[in-house]
Parts: sequence; C-alpha cells; structure tokens
Amino acid sequence: MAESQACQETRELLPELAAGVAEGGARAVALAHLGRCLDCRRELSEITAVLDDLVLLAPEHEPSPGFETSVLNALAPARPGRRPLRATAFAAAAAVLVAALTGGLVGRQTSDDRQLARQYRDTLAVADGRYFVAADISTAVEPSTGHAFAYQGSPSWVFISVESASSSGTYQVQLITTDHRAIDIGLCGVTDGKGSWGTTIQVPIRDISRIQLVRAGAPTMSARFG
Amino acid sequence: MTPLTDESLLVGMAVGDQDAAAAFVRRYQARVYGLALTVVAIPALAEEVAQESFVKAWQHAAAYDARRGRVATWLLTITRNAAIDAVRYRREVPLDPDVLTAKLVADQDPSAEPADRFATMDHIRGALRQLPLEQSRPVVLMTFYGLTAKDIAERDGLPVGTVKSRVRRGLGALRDRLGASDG
Ligand SMILES: [Zn+2]
Repeated sequence: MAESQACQETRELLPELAAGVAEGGARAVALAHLGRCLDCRRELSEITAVLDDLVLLAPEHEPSPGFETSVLNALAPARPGRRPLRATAFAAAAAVLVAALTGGLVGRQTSDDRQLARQYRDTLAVADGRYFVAADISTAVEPSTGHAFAYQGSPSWVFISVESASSSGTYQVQLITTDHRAIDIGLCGVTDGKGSWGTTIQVPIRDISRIQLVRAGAPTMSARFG
Repeated sequence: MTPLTDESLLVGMAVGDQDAAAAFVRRYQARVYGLALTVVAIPALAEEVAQESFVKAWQHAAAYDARRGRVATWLLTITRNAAIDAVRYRREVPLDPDVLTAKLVADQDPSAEPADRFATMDHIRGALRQLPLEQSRPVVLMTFYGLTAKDIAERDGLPVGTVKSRVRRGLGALRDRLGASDG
C-alpha cells in the first residue's frame, strides 16, 4: 500500500475520531493531517457513516409523561404571546429547506436536481391542515431558475431560493392570489444569479396561485402553486 | 394523507411553530430517549440528555445537511454525543457489551415500524450480527459507551494495538456489508 506514515497513523485513530472519543496530541495531529489528506477524510466519513448506522439500532424507550412539555418549554424560553419571527430563524429555515428539498444540489441545476424537487413536491405532505408545497421558479424561456416553498401553519410563510437568474439586482416579490390579486410581500436581492429570501404571510397557502419576482429590465420569474 | 416530512417539521420548529416542534418531539422522543438511556443507563439523566439533544437540534437546524443522511441519523448523532459527554468520567459500563450487542441485533417485529425503515434496520442488525464478538465488543464499547481504545485495552486486558486493529477490522467489515446494498 502506498500509504504514507502520516496516513497510517491517522487511520489508526479514525474510529476514535469518528466516535468523538479521541484525545490529546494524537487527535490534534490526526486532525491536521485530515485537513490535508482527501483519502483519509473519505475514510473518516465512511467510518462515521457506519457508526451513525449502529446508533440507529438503540432500542426505543418512552420517556416519562411530562417529557414533551418540558422539551417544548426549553425550546421556547420566555414567550410572551406571539414571538416575532427572527431573521436568524429564516436563515435556519432556508438552509434546512433548500438542503432537504433539493438534496443539497442547489446551484448545480442538473436534471436530477429538478427531478428530485418534483418528487418532493409530489410527496410533500398534508396533515392537520398544515402542509408544505414547493414549486420550480421559471421564466418564459428558462425552465428552472430556482425553487419556491410555502408552508401552511402558524405562522404560514414562503421562502424563495433563486439559483440561476439571468439578471441580478433587487426583485419585487409578489403573491398572485387565486382571485387575481397581486400582493407585494417584499424584496429579494439577487447577486451573481443567486439569492434567497423569506417572510411570513397572512394569505392562506391554498389561495396562492403563483409567486413572482419582478424587476425592470429583467425577465419575470414565476413559481406556480395553483 | 401522509404525515409531514421530518424536514418540514424541522423547518417549522426553526421558525417557531410550536405545533411543528411538538410533532417533531413526539415523533422522535422514544428513539432519542431510548438511545440516551442505552448510553447513560440512569432515567433522570437520560431525560436531561434527551432534552438537551432536542434543544441542540433546534439550535443547529441550519447545520442540518440532507446530503449526509436523514434527520433521524442527524438527531441521534447529536444525542449520542450529548449522552457520552454526560458520562465521560464514568468508570464502569452499565451493561456488558456482549449483552448490549445481543439487544441491538435482536429480531424486531416487522409490523412495529414502517417497511422501509424496518428493511434498513434489519440490514444493519444483520451486518452487526455477523461480526465476531472480539470485534463487535470493542466497536460497541466505543460507539455506545464512548470508550477509547486505551480504555478498552485496560478493561479487557489486551494490548492497545490489538484493540485498535479489531475495531478497524470490525468497522471495515460493517462498512463493506452496509455499503453493499446502499450503493
Ligand atoms: Zn492520509
């Protein structure tokens, strides 16, 4: 094997690194090597995946009856009435959404990507009057320049991810309702063809016909929900 | 009607939707608490660990990366790490590793979980079942109880090098068997 000495020493420690139990100087040396060595990083991620699988086997066990309430209290400390939605919450939502709905392929715009988005749209779910819908954003000439997501809940919200706009700048985001009203809901900045933006909305998701992004001199981008 | 996806519950949770958060907690509490209890073996401590894990999941929702696996894997990894941190200085493991392994690989009732999940779990159980005990023992001690190779060597009266090579061989065999049908 053409492994260097440094690779060999790192490989020795990979299981403990993956398990998060490696200690001391050896750990630091191994991490430094991992920073430089793609092969060892690949090996580490494979071992990590095995450990992740094993952990799934832990037997299930119901916690005591008060558990759910106490977790929810811990999740929402000091909530006097309705908490306004913070920008950071949207940043979090954005990352989760885009990763979840496009398998992390956003920006590569392959046909797989679009197919995946379509599958998600088909399987995205309905329960208790809450649901989640996704649609491709397109222009008259481009089939997919991004994705739009809408969540019916409390609050309801929409989120837009533009991945390959032909024209950059600030776009006005509009909701077009099923009864043909146009409602301005905010501005989405697009830089180098990319941008993302979201907001809570008052309109029920089922009343949205489409969401469009409009900018003078640029082709209108539109996501059709209705 | 299909239930909401894990991802959408996570998003709901991230934007402060209490009902989404409640649904997420309800969906996962038995698995999160079950894993915490397996590692720490003390119910009150396991509940603390489980609660901390949900809070961390909520705080780090933005770091969730769908390319790296499902929400369940991500959440249980957070739980495992929190649980091992909670018992870092423990001297004894709560359960003999061979007994724990037997519990992990025990046949489950296929009707108790969704078919696709059962298939995945059964595949992992099958792979672990095939490992010789001398390999599964250190793998389980490291994975579930957070022991280092040195800890295991001292515990089992073996040279550290022997433990390390058994762990590597065990994980290598698991990787080959688990990888075989994933790809
Ligand atoms: Zn290397």
